Amino acid sequence: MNRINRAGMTRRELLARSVAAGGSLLVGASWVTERGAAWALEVTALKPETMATLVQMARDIYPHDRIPDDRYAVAVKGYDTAEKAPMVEAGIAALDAAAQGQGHPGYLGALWEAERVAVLRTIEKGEFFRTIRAGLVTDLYNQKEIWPLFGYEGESFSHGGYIDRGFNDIAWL
Amino acid sequence: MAAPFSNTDDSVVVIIGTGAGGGTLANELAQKGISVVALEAGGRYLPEDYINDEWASFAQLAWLDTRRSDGSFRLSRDFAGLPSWIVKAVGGTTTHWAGASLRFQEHEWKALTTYGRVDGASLLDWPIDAAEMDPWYTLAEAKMGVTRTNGLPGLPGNNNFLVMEKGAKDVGYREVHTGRMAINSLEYGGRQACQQTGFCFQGCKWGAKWSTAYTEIPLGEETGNLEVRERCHAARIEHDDTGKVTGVVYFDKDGVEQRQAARIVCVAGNTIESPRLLLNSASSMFPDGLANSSGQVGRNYMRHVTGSVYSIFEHPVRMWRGTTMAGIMQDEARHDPSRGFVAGYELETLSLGLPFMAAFLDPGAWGREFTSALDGYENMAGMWIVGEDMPQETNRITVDTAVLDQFGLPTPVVHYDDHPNDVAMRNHAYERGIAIHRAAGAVRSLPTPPYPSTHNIGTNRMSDNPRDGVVNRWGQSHDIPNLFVSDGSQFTTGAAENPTLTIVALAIRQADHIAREMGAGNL
Amino acid sequence: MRFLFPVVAAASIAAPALAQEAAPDVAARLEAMTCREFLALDADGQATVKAAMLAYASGDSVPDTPLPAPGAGRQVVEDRTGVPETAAAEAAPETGTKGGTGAPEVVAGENESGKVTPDGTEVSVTDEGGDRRLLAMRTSCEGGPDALALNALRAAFGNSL
Repeated sequence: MNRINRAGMTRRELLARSVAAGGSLLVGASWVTERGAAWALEVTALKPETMATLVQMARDIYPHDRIPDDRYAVAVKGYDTAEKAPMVEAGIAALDAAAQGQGHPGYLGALWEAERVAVLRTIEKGEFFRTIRAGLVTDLYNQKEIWPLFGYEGESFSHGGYIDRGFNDIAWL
Repeated sequence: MAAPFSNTDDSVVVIIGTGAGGGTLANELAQKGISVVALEAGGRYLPEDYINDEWASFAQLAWLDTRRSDGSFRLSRDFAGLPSWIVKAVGGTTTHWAGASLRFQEHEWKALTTYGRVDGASLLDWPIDAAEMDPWYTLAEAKMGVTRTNGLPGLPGNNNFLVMEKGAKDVGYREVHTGRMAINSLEYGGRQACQQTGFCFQGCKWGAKWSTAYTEIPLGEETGNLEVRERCHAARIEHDDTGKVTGVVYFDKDGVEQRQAARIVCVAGNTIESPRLLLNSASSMFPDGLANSSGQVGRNYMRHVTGSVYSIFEHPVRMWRGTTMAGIMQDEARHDPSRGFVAGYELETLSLGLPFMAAFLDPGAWGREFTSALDGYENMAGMWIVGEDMPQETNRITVDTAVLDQFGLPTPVVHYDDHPNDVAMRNHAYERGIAIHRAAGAVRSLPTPPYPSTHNIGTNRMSDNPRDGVVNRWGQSHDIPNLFVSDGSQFTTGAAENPTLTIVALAIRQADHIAREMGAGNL
Repeated sequence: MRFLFPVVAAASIAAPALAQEAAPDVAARLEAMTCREFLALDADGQATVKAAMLAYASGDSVPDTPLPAPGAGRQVVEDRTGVPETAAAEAAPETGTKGGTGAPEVVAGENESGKVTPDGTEVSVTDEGGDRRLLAMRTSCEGGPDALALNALRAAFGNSL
C-alpha cells in the first residue's frame, strides 16, 4: 500500500476524483498525486491533505526546482505510520494554524514560497520542524535517483575509479 | 593464524584497541616474539566489505555508542550526540582516515617554549623532540608507504587539488603539493596503487591506503603471537595490592563479561574511550581512576582547529573524483604571531559526497540560501583547515554515571570550548582559504563549521613531570609501571599536522621500549 | 593474507623488458632522471620526456625526438620538510622483519597490461588526453624532487603501465 504507484491512473481519472488542495499536488480519498499524474502516493495512516502539506513543507525546507515532488514524497513517506501519524497530524495542524495567523487559508493556501517560508520561520525552533528537517536531510539527499541532478556520480569502484576517467580533467582553470 | 591465549595467561600484553596506535603496537610486539591479546570493540571489515556510500558506510563503521558533548563550541549544538567521527572496527579509525602523513614541525614539540604562555591554555613542551623522533618517523613512513618519502613519488593531483594549487600559487603561496600520503602511489607493501576512486573516508576498497585492518593486524596474526578478539568491549582494568595492573575485564561479542589476565596493559581506545576506561577503572586504591594521581586523565582534550571552505565556481570541478585529501598548502603552518595567533595551520583539500555535504555544509540550515549552494555541488571545490588548537584543562572527557551504555558502563561526556587563539586561527584560515578559491575563480564561498572530530588527541598527556602529565616519555603511566597509553591521547600538544603518522611513530618506539624493558626484567 | 585485494592489473602477459627498445644511454637517462630534473625542464621538454618515458615503460619504441638537455628551466620548490637530496634512497631502513618496521619492497615496474575493473569490464590503459597525464606526472613530482620521474609517470597511470 504504502508505496509510489507510477501506473494506471490517467490524468482524466485523477482530475475527476481529485480534491484540489492548493500547491501543485492533488489529493484523493487515500492518496496524493501531482497534477501530471506521473506518480501517486497512497497513504494509510495520515490524511491525504496532511501528506500533501508535508510534501510541500519538505520542498519548502529544501527547495530544488529540478527535483520532482515524488522524491520529496519518498523522503517523508516514513511518517505515514500509525505510530507517527498523531505527531505529524498535530504538527501539520499547527503549521496550518500558523499560516492562518498570517492571513492565509492554510499552509498550502499561501501561494508564494516566501509566504510559506515566513510561516515555517515561526515554527522552526519547534520539535516538529526540527524532526522533519533532520530526517529530510538524510532521506532526501541519500536518494541515488536525485544525484544526477547535482552532477554527483556516487561510487566509482565498480568502474575502476577515476584514474582513467577524468580525475584531473578540469580544463577551464 | 590467530593464537588463542587463555584468559588466565598472565604473560600476555593486552592492548585495547587496534587502530593506528594499538594495531601498530600489536604487530610490532608480535614481530618481536611477544604474546599479545588485542581487544577490539568493533567487528572486522576488509576492503571487500567496505561500502562506497556515505550513510551506509557510516552505519557500518562509525562509533555510535552513547556520548554527549557540551561546551560553547558549535559542534556541541549541531551534533550533541556525535562529538567525534571515529570508527568501531578492527583497524579503528585507520579505516576512515584520509591518509595525510605529516611529521610535526620541530618547534611544535616545544609549544610552551616556542609560543610562550598563553592565557587560558595549558601549553607544555613534549619531553621528546624532533631529533629523537626522526628515526621513528622514518620507520613509520616506510611501514605506511608515505608518498614523498623513501623515494616514493607523490600521488597525481585531482581536480580539487588543481583548483587549490592554482589559487594558492596565484596568491603567492609556494608550498603546495599533493601531500605526504599513506596511500600508495606505486604498488607497495603487497598493496596496489591508488586508482583515484574517492571514498577514502569509507575504507579503501583497493587497499591502497594504509590501514592496520589489512596491514599490521594480519601480519601480526601470521606470527602466531597476536590474537585479536573482535567485538570485545573493555570495561575496566584491574590491579593488585601493589598497584600493578593484572588484567582487563571486558564484554565479549555475546555481552558476556570476561577477564583477560595481563603482564602489561596498553590502552589505545582513542582519545575519548581511553580516559573513559581509566576513569571507569577507579578503585579504592585509585579512587579518581587509574593513572590519575595528577588529576590530568581526561583533561586537555584537543581536536585541532578545523573548519572547511567550499566554493562554487562557474564551471564543474567534480571534487569527489579521486583521493579525498588530494593536496596540501603548508605556507601557513609556521608559527608567526604577527597573524594574531600562535601556532599554525595546514590547508588540505577535502571533498564530501552529496549526502554528507547536505548534512555538514551548514548543519540545521534550510531554505534557498542553503539549497542553492548544494545546487552548485558539481562546481564545488573544498579544503579543510587543520590547525593546532590550544590545550585547555577544562576541555575534557568526564564520565556520566547517570547515563549508562549497553553494558551498564558510565558514558563519556566531551566538553570543549574554543580558545580565543583557536577562533582567531580559524577566522584567518577561512579568509585565506576563501582568497585561494577566489584567485582560482570562485563565485561563492561557504565557510563551513567543524565536523564531528576525527582528530581526537590529548586527555592522557605526556610529560616528564608526574604532576602535570599522565604518562612519561614512553607513554608509560607515571603511577602504574605496567600500564601504557598507546594512542593519540598521549599527545602533549596537538601540532598542526594530522596525528596518525605521529601516533604510529610513537607506537613503534613504544614497542621497542616495552620489548627492551621486558627483556631486562623491568616489566 | 586472509583476504584478496581487488587487482587492477589482470592477465599477466609477459612483461616487456624495459629498455628493450631504447638505446642504452637513453634508457639510463630515463631511469635516472629525478623529479627535480624533470620539473626544471620547460613545458616542451617535459612533454618530450614524458612521451619517451611512456614508450619506455610500455616497452615500445622510444621516439626519436632528442631528450632535452638537463638544467635550464624554472626554480624547483621543495616542500617544507625538504628531505636532504641524498637522504631519500637511504632513508628506508633495511632492518625489516616482515610487517615490522622494515620497508616493504617497492614493486613499481612490474609491467602488466590489460586492466580489469571489479565488475570484470576491461579497461585499456591508453594515453588519451596525454596532457592530463603530463599534468598528473607534474603534480606527482612537485614537492618530491628526489623521486624518480619514471615513478611519477607510473603513479600518473595508477601503476598500471
